[in-house]
Amino acid sequence: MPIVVKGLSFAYGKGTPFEKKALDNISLTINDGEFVGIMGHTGSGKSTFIQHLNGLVKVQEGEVEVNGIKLTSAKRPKPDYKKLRATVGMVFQYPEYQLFDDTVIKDVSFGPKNMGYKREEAEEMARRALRLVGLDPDEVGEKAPFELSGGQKRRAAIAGVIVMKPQILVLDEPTAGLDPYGKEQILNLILRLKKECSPTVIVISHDMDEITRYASRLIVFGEGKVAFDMPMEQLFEHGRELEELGLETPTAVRLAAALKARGIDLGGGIVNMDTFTAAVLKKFAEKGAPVKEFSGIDWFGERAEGGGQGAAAPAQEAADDNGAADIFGEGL
Amino acid sequence: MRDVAFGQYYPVSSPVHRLDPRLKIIFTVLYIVTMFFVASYFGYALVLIFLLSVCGVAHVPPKAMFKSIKGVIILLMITAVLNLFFYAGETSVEWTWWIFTVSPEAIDFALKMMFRLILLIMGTTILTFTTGTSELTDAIESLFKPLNLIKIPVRDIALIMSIALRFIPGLIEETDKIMMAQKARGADMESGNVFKRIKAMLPVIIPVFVSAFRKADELADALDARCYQASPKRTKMKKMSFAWRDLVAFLIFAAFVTIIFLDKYLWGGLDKYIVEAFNALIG
Ligand SMILES: Nc1ncnc2c1ncn2[C@@H]1O[C@H](COP(=O)(O)OP(=O)(O)O)[C@@H](O)[C@H]1O
Ligand SMILES: [Mg+2]
Repeated sequence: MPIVVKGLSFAYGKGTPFEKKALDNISLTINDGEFVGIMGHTGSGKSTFIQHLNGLVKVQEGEVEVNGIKLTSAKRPKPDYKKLRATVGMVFQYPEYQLFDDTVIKDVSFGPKNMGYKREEAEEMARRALRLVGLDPDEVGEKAPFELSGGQKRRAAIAGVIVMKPQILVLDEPTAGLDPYGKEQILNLILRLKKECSPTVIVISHDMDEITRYASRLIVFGEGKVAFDMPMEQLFEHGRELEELGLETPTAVRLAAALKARGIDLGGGIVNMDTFTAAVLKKFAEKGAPVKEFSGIDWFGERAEGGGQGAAAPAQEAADDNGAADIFGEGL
Repeated sequence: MRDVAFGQYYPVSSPVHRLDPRLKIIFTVLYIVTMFFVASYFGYALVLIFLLSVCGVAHVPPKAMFKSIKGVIILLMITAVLNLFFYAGETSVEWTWWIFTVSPEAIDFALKMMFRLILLIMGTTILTFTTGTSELTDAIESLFKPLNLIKIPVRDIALIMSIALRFIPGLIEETDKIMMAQKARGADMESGNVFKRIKAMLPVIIPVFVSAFRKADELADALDARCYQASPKRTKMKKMSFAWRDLVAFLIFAAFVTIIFLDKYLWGGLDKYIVEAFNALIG
C-alpha cells in the first residue's frame, strides 16, 4: 500500500514569536517498491516531512496515509502508532548517537522488545538484522556499542531499525560525515536492504551525484514546498531553478552539457555517471573503437572480488581499488 | 520538549528589553523581597496589574507569563492544600468535617500564599523573557565584580555560567531528536506509571548524557586550541551603561514598592476599607 500525502502543512512553535513554517501544502504519493530520493537545501523541510510518515510530529493541517493508517489533525480515532512504527523504519541523521544499551545485541533488540516480542525471539531477530547489515553478531554482539568503529556503529544503529523488517525504510542523510568509501558501503547496504527486507526506500540526501546513482525518483523540496517531482531526466533540464534552490545538477549532466556545447551530443537519458559512461562508450562504438561491455562503474573494485551487493563486510573491507573504473577496453 | 516556556527569552524589541540588565536583576531581587511584604488582596491585585503593565510595555503576551506557572502547578496545589489544613494561627470559626478542619483564616492564608508563589514565579520569568542569556551573565559578572577583591574568580564563574546556559538549547534539541529516534523504534514514553516512565526515559537520557560529555570535550578542546583563558582582563563587545529609560524604570519601580509598603505599614491593608465600603454599599 502506498504513502499518500494530501495538503500537508506544518509550522514549528505555532502561535509564538518563534513560529516557523516548515511545510507548506505538500501533496504526493509514493508507491510500493519505489526508491525515492528527497533533495533540498538545509531547512527546506525534508526532515520535518519524513517525521510525519512515522507519526513523530502531529499533523497540523492536511492528511498522511501510510499503508492504510490515516494520520490527521483530529484526535480521534487514535491511529495505531505501534503498527505504524513497525511499518515505517526511520533511520535518523547520525543514528549512532541513539545507541544506549550496554551491548549491541540488547540495543538492536530494543525495537522488537517494545513491540512485545520475548527476549530470545527479539535477540534472534537482532542477530539476523546484524548479519543483514554486514556485522557478525558473534563478534560484535556482546560488545558495548561504544567499542565499535564509526562505520560499525552506524551499521549497528541501522540494524536497530530494520530489525522489525519495516516495509518502508526512511533514511535521513545516511551518509553524512562518512568518507567516500564509507558512503559507498552504506549506499550498497541500503540497496541490499531494499532487496531483502524493505521494498520501499526513501532517502534524504544532499549529494546529487550520490542519489542519482540509486534512486528511481527524485522529489525536490524548496521552502517547505515540493518544488519538483518529475522524472529525473526532465528534472535536470531545470538546472537554473535547481541552482536557485541551492542544488547542483549531477556532474554527469553538467559534463554532458559541456560536451554538447562542444558539438558532441550524447543524447538523452543521462542522469548519473553510469548512464553518462554508457552513452560515451556508445559514441565510441559508433566511431568503430573497440569497447568492452559495460554494466556500471565499479567505483571501489568490489565486483571484481566476486562479492557484489550480497557480500559480507570483511570481503568489502579487504578490497582495494585494483581494477576500479576499468571501463575502457584494453584497446584504448 | 520545546514547549518549555519557563525562562525562555522572548525575542522582541521593547523598552524593557533594552533596560540595563544589571538594573533588571536588581529589580527582580527587590521584587522578590517586596513580595514578602504584600499584606492584602489589594496588594496582590496591585502586583498583578504591575506585572501585566510590564508585559504590555515589554510586548510579551501575558499568556506566556501565565504559562510559566504550568510547570509548577502541582507544587502550588500541594502547598495550598497543606496551608489550608495545617493552618496553626488563631481562628474565629472552625468548620470540621471528618479529620479536616477549615477556618476563614486558613482559607485567607492559603489563598495569599498561593498568590504570592504565583506572582513570584511570574515576576521572575519577566526577567528571563526580556533578557538574553549572554546579557544575564555579563550583568551578573558586572554585579559581582567586587567579589574579585576577596579572590573569588568571578570571570571564570561567569564563563562557566554562560557556557552552561548556551548548552541548554542544544541539549533540548538533542533530547528531542533522540526521543524521536527511540519512539520510531517503538519506545513508549507516554503511558504507564511514574516508575515505568522513568525507566522508559533511559534510552533517551543515556545518549543525551554521552552527547553532552562529547560536546563539552569538543568545546574544551576548541577553547584550548585558541589558548582561551577566562582570567585575563578583557573588554566587552557590548558595554553596559545607564540611560534615561533606566532612571524612568527606577522611579516607576520605586513607586510600586512604596505603595506596597504603605499598604502594609500605614494603611494596614486596604482590604478592610474595601470590605467596609462594600458592606456600606449593600446596606
Ligand atoms: N524542532 C524544531 N523547532 C523549531 N524549528 C525547527 C525545528 N526543526 C526544524 N525547524 C525549522 O523548520 C525548518 C525545516 O527544517 P527541517 O525539516 O529540519 O529541514 P531539512 O531537514 O530540510 O534541513 C527549518 O527552517 C528549521 O529551522
Ligand atoms: Mg534535516
